[in-house]
Parts: sequence; structure tokens; C-alpha cells
Amino acid sequence: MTASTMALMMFGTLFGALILRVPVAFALGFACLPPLVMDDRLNLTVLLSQMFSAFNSFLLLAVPFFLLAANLMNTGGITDRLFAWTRSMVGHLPGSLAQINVVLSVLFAGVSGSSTADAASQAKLFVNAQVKEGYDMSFSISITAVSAILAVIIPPSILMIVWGGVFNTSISQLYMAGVLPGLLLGMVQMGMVYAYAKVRKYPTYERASLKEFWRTTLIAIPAMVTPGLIVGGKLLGWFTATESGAIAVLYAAFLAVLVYREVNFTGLRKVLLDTGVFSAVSLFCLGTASVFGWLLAYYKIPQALVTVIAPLELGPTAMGLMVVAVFLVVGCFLDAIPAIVIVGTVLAPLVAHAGMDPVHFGIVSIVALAFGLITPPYGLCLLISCAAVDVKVRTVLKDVFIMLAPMLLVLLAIVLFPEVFLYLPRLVTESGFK
Amino acid sequence: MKPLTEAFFVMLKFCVATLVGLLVVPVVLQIASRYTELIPTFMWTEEAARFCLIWTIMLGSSVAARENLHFDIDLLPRPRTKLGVFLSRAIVVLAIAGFGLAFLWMGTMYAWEARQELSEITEIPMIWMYAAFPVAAVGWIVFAVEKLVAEARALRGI
Repeated sequence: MTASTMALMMFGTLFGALILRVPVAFALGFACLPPLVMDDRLNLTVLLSQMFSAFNSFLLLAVPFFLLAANLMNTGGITDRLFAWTRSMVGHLPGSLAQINVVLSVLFAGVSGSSTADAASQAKLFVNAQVKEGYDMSFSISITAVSAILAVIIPPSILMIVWGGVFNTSISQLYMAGVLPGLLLGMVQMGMVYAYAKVRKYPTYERASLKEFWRTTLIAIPAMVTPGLIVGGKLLGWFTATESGAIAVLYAAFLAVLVYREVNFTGLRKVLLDTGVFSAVSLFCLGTASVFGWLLAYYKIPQALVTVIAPLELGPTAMGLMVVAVFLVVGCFLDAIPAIVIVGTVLAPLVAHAGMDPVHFGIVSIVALAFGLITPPYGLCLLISCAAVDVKVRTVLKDVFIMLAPMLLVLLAIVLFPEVFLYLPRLVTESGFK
Repeated sequence: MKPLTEAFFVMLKFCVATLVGLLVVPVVLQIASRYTELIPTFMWTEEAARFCLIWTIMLGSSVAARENLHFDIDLLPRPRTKLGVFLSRAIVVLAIAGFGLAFLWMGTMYAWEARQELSEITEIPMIWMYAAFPVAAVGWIVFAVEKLVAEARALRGI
């Protein structure tokens, strides 16, 4: 059988299994079986050896660490303290509670690195509370899901760590590249809340006094040290990405267990289990995706695509737009991590041929994949936010797409003005600031 | 059968929670040995952490399989009849069990063939590392069969 027949068989099996609602991780593994059984040059142990290679990575330890830090923050009362601080800062803006929702996501993004962890915690915290205050359910879910994606754009980010590992791109530079897009998207979301609040007359809180602001700031300071530890420690070259995750865990545990005393032994056991299972779900999918990606590379599919696309002589901008289009579509159907492993590796040679900067390629792809977290049918943040209040996804899609439209303009700007968005990353090297 | 699968599930959950706690230890020791002279520089920390991660992922995947936490895509409309619901769920469960059987067979062979190999730094027999694959597969199969039985009972109205 030819390589293209094998590739078609793999994709056919994958899509068939996905349509039948086989979980993505298992569908990817299942799709690898036909070539491993039918190709004389391969055997089934390739599946295990490739999965073992994918998992046997010190870098990937950062995934459970960032999730554990985020879970400790949520159960340990750290998020509540950040909430009070955020309330004193932006609570007086139209659509107060929704503004707090967005700003808290920005702050949370500086610690957690996981959008799904953010969506899970914020949905419980905000959606019903917003509805009680008179916000529409659809708007409340949409803004919660949409703001949660900032967690993978603002450093630290699990996607950036995976990207750095897969493509050997500097994680420090990717972290810095995420700052400006993350803040811009946060501001766009606050603008959207402002517009909605004006049109739909959503409630506005009284401005907090200066005394209240300083009081909540003082309480929030210990919590706000965490992003400094994680990102600062990495950028200053004190720790690796993985080590900074472990430090964040220690610090969050110190605050939650010893300072705020809101997590007991039972709570800690639950946090550890939740973290382990959720990390396993993401990383197991990475394992089967790695085998799928390895098989595509084995059959030289990326090279075949280069041969087709290369004659078009696409420049960095056109290639950036193509990357955005591909990841926006793929993000609708695939989780970000397998999309990086499978599609990213296919696109990488094309991008290199077009002369696109590797960090630019990274940040454009990560932002596009982050948008995939809110686009159906496989928008995880959207699914989690809807599931938290038992609402059907289709009832909120209109508001999600309205909010997504200006965010797409930010993504377009990232593609069109690489020099602006690469200014910060160029200040650092992998081992720290220049 | 139910008490057995429940006991297996509880054991898996205990192992996953413990492993996540253990993951932090070697990495923190690694940092402490670099910045302080309280403890010597350890060579085994990185390898120990990686091996704990592999077991966490594989055992966690089994726990997630029982609790339906692995993500899927909702493309087809939901079936409206009892038989339709049963068939749609049975296909998923059988696919997981089928993949689990292939994985169990491959994983056992793979681990057994590596019984003489030792890890580079800690010199742990690699069979202990690769054993995570067949053990996880057992979890997928057991929980898939448990679900299939439950679905069949629901179909028959038991």
C-alpha cells in the first residue's frame, strides 16, 4: 500500500471513530492501528515506544504542576482573595461582575497555564452569580468561556511548554510573546463587556474607596507573588519551566494549607486526584497524538505538503494567515495539544520554507488554538462552562461569536505586525533576559 | 463484580493521588540541591520524576475512562430510542475495550522483552516502567466491560 493510502486510512479511521463519539485520545490510538498491523516495516510496539518517548519528558511535568497550583489556588481561597482585589479595581465599570470575571481570568492566567482549569473554576464562581444580578445566561457563560482562554496565552502556558518541547522553540521567548496578545485580548473582552452592559443595562457597582483598594491589595499580595515566581523565575534563568511549576505548587500549598488554612487533608487528597486525572486526560491524548504524528512523518506527509505548497511561494504573512486558518478549523475538532503535535509538525516545514519566525509561528498558532477552545463542536472551555450550569452549547453560540469577532482582529494584528509582537520575546533568550 | 471493580477503582485513585504528590518531591530536591548546600546534588531526581509521570498518566487514564472524563466530540444527534442509546454507547465502550485489548497484549510483550533492561541513572528494571501500559489497559477493559453490562441492564430495564 502507498503512503497516501495509509494516511487516508488513518484519517478515515480517526474521523469515523470521532463521529461515533469515541474519546479523542482513544480515536487517535485506534487510527494508528491499521498501518501498524498492515505495514510490513512496522509493528505494534511502535505505538508503545512512541508513547513512552512522548511521556518520558521532564518538560511535561510542568503540566501537572501548573494544574496542581491552579487547583490549590481555587480550593485554598487564593482565588477569592484575588476576586476581592479585582472588585476594588474594576468593580465600578459597567457590567461590574463580568469585568471582574475578565480581569480575574487575566490574573489567574499568570499562575495556572490551563484554560480548562480556569473555565471550570470561573464557571462555578461567576455564571450563576451574574445571572442572579440580571445578566443573561448566554452572555454570562460566553464571557466566562471566552475569558478563560487567556490562561494559555498569558504566561505561563501549558501550550507554550508543549510547543517549546515539540518544536525546540525557546519557552522564555514564547512566554514573552504571549504577554502583549494576552493583555490586548483581555482589554478587548473588557470592551465587549462594556458594550453589552450599556446596551442591555447590566448592573454597575459603586466605586470602591481608596482605603478598600489598599486593603484588598494588601490581602492579594501573597497570591500575586505566584506569577512573579513562575514567570520571573523562568525569565531570570533561576528555574526551568518544570521547576517553576514545582515552586508554584509549593507556594500555593504553603498559602492554602498554612497561611489561609482552607485546605485540609481530605481536600488536599481531592486536589491531588483531580490534578492527576485531568493531567492524565491531556497527556494521554498527547501520547496517542504523538504516535499519529510520528506515523504521518514516517509516511512523509509533511514533505508531500511542502512539495505542493512550496511552488505558491507564500511569504511569512500569507503563511501566517494560512496557519491561522488551519488552526482555527482544526481547533474546532481537536484539542490543542494533539493539534500541536499532529498539525503543527505538518505545518512546521512549510513555515520554515516561508521564512516565518519560529516564535511568531508559535504565538500565532497558540492564539488560534486558544480560540479553538471556544468554538464548537470541540470547544473545551465552552463545553465546561455550559456543563457547569447545565445549559446547551447551541444556546450560547451567538454571544460567543459576537465576542470572538473583535478577538479575531487581534489575531490578525499578531500576524500582520510581527515586529511589534516580537519586541518583547527578543529581549530574552532561553536562559533569561539578555 | 461491582465490589471488585469498585475496589480496583479506589486503588487506582489512591495511586494517582499519591503519584501526583510524589512528582513534586524530586523536582524540589533538584532545585534545593542546586541552590543550597543542605543536600547533595542528586542524579536520580529527574528520572524518578519522569517515571512517576508515566505511571500518573497511564493510571489516570484508567480512572478517567471509568468516570467518562476523556473528551469526545458531539457531532451526531443523540439517539431517541433506548436501543439507539444502547448501541451508541456500546460502540464507544467496545472501541475502548478493543484498543485496550491490543494495548494489553502489546504492553505485556513490550514490558516482558525489556525485563533485562535497566534505566540509565537509577538502574531500575525497565519492566517496572513499561508495566504502566498493560496495567492501564486492564483498567480500560475492566471499566468498559462494567459499563457494557450496565448499559445492557438499562436496555433490559433491570
